[in-house]
Amino acid sequence: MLASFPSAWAVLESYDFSHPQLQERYQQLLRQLRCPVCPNQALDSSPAPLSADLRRELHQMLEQGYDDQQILQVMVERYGPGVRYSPPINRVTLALWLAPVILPLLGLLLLWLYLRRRAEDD
Amino acid sequence: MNWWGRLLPLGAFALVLGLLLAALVTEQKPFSALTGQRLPELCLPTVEAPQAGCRSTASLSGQAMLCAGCLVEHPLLMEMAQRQGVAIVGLNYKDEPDHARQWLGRHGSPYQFSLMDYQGGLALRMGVTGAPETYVLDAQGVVRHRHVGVMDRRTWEQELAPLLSSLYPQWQNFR
Repeated sequence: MLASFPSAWAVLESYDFSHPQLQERYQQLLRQLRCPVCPNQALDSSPAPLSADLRRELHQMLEQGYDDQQILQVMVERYGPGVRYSPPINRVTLALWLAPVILPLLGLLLLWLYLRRRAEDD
Repeated sequence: MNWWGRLLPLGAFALVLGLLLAALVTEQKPFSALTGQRLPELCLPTVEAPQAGCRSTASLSGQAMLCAGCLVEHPLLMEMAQRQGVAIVGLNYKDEPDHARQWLGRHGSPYQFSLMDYQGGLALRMGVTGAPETYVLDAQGVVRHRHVGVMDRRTWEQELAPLLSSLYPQWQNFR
């Protein structure tokens, strides 16, 4: 019973693929791409008409033999880097990737300095 | 605690406040891959003469504007077409051709012609995300500007009219 409802995408339209591997890549791509008109929802669950169009296009591109990089590139060229959930690491996005590592470390450093000083004052 | 220890939280607060204010007042331009490029090439029938074969998006040079899914700004488009002589192409986006013809018959048409994008394929390839969208084309058919959302009089006067009169010297006295 549960197996017949694998996940949320099952309620959206489904496509037949000529090869199970294509189906697999299709699902992966849907999870990696953000619906351009939704407040942060992946294509794998978005009911927006534009998302349905994009899913149809992804199906066509996969059947036509595009590889994943080419597909992602087409989407980024059209909708901007924000369409990908994991943007590539480059000069522009470096701060975005490093901040979650550096900021907590900085906080811990400040806390340590503060606690040490308080211990000295006592 | 020394003086900089006291100033640090205040400094951090001021920094965050400054960043938030900067983000608030700077205008966020929508991403536009098409700016500086030609429209994706596609041949579509027109609303006006569906039997006459298709018009290619490559042959749009000489048309100054392309308006996709434009209904609300219709009166403004009529004014631009009639008073200023601006050449506008309509993109009938995901709409029944009959419905479009009736609508244009009732309200008049500001368009040289309207491309019939029944499946939305052209709009999809153009990256239309928030119809109505307005695109300014130069004399060579290269996209120079994308406006997302309804075009009101303020947008027209501040963004589009200056650009159009610099691209097309024959339309100097836009108001």
